[in-house]
Amino acid sequence: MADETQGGVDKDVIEKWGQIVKAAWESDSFKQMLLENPIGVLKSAGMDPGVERVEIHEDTATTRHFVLPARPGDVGVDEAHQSLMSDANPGF
Amino acid sequence: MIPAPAPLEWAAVGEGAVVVATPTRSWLHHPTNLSDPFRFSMTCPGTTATTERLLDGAIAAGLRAGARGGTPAPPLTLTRWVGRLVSYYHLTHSTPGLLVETARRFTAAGRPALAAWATEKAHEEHAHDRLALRDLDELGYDAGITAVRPPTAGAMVDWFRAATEVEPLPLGVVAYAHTVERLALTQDAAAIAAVRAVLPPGSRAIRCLRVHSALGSDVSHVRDNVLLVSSLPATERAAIALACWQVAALFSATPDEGHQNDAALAALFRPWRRSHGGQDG
Repeated sequence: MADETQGGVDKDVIEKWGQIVKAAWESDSFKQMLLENPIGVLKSAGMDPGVERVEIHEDTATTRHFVLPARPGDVGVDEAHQSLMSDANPGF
Repeated sequence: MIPAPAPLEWAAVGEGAVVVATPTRSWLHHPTNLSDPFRFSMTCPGTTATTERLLDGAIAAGLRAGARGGTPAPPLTLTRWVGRLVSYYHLTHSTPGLLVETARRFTAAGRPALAAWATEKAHEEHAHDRLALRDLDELGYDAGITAVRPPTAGAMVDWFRAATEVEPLPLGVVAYAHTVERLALTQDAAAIAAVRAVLPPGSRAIRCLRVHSALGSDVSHVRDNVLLVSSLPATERAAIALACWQVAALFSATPDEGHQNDAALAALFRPWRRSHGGQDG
């Protein structure tokens, strides 16, 4: 697991996104296609975003975009322990 | 108003998730964006409050992951308690020896604080297996019953043993100890009462459970573990968090062969049951 991901993102996805960025830098028509139909382009590159809507924002010399991740859910031992499926007691 | 910087720790665990910990809560975050700050390894120092939440979050996420798609164990009976005591025996029997070996390896790696932790823990855990044997004896079972190796306990001991052999640092041992001791704190007065309810009247066959519960010494052990881990470099804290997730997932999973029913367990334990001993549940 640790070798296949980088901070929770599949390294394969990072590499594919790198290829898309490169293609957009090289070709205005590809960039236009990416901006107009991002899900289609991403899927054709083998990286299905798995959501209904994707927006591509292009950084410029004067504009930079920051993405605020969705708020995650809390996680705690006492709650999670209720879902235990083994027939053992913890001890050391 | 921009909030003042506050302690924050995070670590990648399994299934593409990252546990993000503040002094008061743990989030289970799934980074999806390539610029997500929690995609990158933390470099910050630990604090006892954030490290405690980091490890708690990793354990909780591991419990969830391990339990996913599993089958709940049948309700507790006296027979199943006998099985749990056999598990306790296996979880505690190999502990002191493996911790002594862990201390030797930490010493060899030039990590005296980690070595001192392992040495102290080997001392603390000495003879806990005898508590399980006393409980089993009271319920009418000879020590030979420990020839039975319950699957979850067996998998845990195998993981623990393998962790002691990891080079250059057996940090998984720290994660293993913290996970099982933290989970022991979920065994509160209500959990102990639930066990008492299936025991013969007047039985005291909860010695091992009491020691490994919120009423026992694991409370201070968990505090000591957090103090130790919070003092470690960020890469080592992250490695320990990931290992906590792995241990918790292993502990919470349904065994591959499924749960045995009470009749099968009773038949399995029968060769070591004395005729004058306790009753099957």
